[in-house]
Amino acid sequence: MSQSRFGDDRDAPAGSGETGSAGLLHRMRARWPPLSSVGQDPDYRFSLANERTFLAWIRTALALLAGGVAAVQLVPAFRFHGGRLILGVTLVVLSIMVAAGSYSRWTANERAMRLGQSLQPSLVPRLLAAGLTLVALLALFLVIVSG
Amino acid sequence: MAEKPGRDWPPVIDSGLQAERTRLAWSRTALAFGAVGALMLHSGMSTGNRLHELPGLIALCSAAGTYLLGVTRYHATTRKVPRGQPMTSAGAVRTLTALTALTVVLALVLITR
Repeated sequence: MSQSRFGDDRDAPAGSGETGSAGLLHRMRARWPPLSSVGQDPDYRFSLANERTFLAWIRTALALLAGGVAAVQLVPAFRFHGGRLILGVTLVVLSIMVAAGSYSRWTANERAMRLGQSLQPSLVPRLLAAGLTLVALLALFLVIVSG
Repeated sequence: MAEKPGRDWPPVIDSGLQAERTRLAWSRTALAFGAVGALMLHSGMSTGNRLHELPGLIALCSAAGTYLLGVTRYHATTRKVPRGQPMTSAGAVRTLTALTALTVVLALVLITR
């Protein structure tokens, strides 16, 4: 169905509205086709395992978010002015990166499984490890300074 | 032990309980959403401004939405798998990502106000 729609678009005469947002959408679809049109349906067990991995990453992002909110709203003030806000915002920014990474990882894994390719490594675990190390060092610094 | 006469037991279609495990993962995610929502609501209520309670309430509604999404996914999976139909749902994944992004933005507004 989508192929015939694309075919209609290609047959349309020049200057008939293919420019602008519709043209951009068409080019994006050509570059990143919908998952359902790529390769073959994988074993449903693999798709569900990919979905559970995505959900586990989302829970990690939500835990980071809860930590960020709690750091600002519930932790007593440090002697270092603005320490709680820096800690909280760092955790929330880390949460954004993990949530965004989880979606792109799910898409990449699903696409690779549909095409029968091996799964590509992800930057998200390294990003999370580096971010949490930064947060821990920041918290250690704030606790020591507050004495 | 023999099965009770007259009971029509459905055939086992998922010996690894994949669909059930995935539904439980959705439920755990909904609970995590609920915890974040309760925390945000607590923070908003402590300010005394009713408007600051809105992010927490939206996050709690997202928790309910996530749970319902998981239930819907479970029923769709158990219905489609025996028929050999594709059960991957990019829509459910995108919806949850959007709900998470919305909650993160609301939390950022709440803590930097």
